Amino acid sequence: MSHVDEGTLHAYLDGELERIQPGATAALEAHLARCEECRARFEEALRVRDRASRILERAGAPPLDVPPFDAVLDRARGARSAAGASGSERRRPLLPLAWAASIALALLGGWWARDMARRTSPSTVVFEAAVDAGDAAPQPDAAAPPATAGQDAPARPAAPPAPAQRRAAPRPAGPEEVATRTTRADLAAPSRDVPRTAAPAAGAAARGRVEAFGVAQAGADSAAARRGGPPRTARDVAIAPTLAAAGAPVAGASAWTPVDRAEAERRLGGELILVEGLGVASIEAADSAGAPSVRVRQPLGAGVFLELVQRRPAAEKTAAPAERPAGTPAPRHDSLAARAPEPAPAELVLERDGFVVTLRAIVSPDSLRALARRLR
Amino acid sequence: MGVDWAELYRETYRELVRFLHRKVWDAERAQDLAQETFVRALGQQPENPRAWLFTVAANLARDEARSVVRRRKHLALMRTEPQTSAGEPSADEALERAERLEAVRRALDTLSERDRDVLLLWDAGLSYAEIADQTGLAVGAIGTTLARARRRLAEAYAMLEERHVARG
Repeated sequence: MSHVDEGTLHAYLDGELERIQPGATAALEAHLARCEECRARFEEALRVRDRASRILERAGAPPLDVPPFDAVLDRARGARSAAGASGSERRRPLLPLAWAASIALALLGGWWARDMARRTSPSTVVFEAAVDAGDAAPQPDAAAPPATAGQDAPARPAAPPAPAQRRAAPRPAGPEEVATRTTRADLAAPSRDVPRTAAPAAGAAARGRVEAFGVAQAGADSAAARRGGPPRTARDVAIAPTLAAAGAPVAGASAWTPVDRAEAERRLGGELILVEGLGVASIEAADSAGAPSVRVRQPLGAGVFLELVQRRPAAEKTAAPAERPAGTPAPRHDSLAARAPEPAPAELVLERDGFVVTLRAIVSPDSLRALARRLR
Repeated sequence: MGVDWAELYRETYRELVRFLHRKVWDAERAQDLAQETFVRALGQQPENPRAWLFTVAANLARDEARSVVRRRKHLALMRTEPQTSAGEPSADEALERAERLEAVRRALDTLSERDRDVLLLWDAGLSYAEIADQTGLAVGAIGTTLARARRRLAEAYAMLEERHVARG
């Protein structure tokens, strides 16, 4: 056997030599017994190894209290919920993926914009009004034509048909068509003549959704348009249908108005039902034929919110969402949406403590069910 | 085959914190990153979880070193040294510990990143095979790498001690 190299000596000292090279230990020991030079190397390797170990020990050990595994499990569940909602968990450590996601979002926005240009749904009108209202005076424009925003308009005298019926029914001509044409024209040039019937609460919805899509610039773009700046971008239009879906959780409801928790519970006649462990971003209330509803927005992650609408069962009879299977995506407001590849919010309706609670968020149905299990 | 994550957590958490502590030099941050590593593992359910944990921990530590910790390292050293007694250490003791820790850190900094990783992984309790799996080195090269890393660490530390003594 030739002289032993330093790496083999360290592997031997670390008790790893036999694992990586079976049979080598006996050969090494036999060689060391008869080779003085290698014994000297061995002694030197032993000194270096011990010296390095002592140096590392001088760094001390950090506190070694092991937190309970359940705490890590909870954190993992929270991370999965957030990841399901936004995908941000995967993007965070990888800047290139973040860039790719941004590009994909822009392309998706373009796709939406193309679809929106063909749409005859009043959804965009609501969005336009909402964003305007978000930065403008909180009062609805009294001069605006009534009920031009279709089922999203406040104080609509008759309950609208269920979503499925709305999809199947022929669209009435008239104000809705006019409003939509206005919106299409708005793609090319900013307009100030869009009806503003959905005012303050829809404005809040618009802001929330803008944040939810991580397109915080959209509101600023819209504001620029109002100032006579550049035309609105495709991104503004892209989020409109989702806004419409979220902006009118209760058919025939009056506009959502911000309230504090005490006021919300007073109107409901019971305690607010919330997802445990999440903060509360906003509380709003509205009345639907005398039946109060409360909408709470709880943050799920960066710019992503869970929307909870709580009301008494009587009000639910006029509202379509309860008739949908639990955990299915919310219905779109026109037939084009059914084939559009856009992320619709999942929606789950359940009864809890005498209330009908609707959960809505841009997460997977499984994530939404997991959140529902944390309702308290 | 299912992984008993609770058991793996109990077995590996301390090693992971020890490994991370020698990379970020902040005990609290090391613990936080160790938990973050497990959180990610639970989401990914990797096939070879132990090696995966150290790989992700090393990456997290690297990201950390590039951002915040490097700027506040000195404060971290002062703040997070483990308490060896029930009482608060005196200012002199705290300073001595901080200097000692800083010397180890500076000695480790003289090593190449690969040598340092191999040394710290061994110090954290990984086997040669696990280190090879994580670093991409041949398992037969781990002993050589460790030998070189240990020698350089000892030399660098001795040099720092000499300078310290010379300064008085």
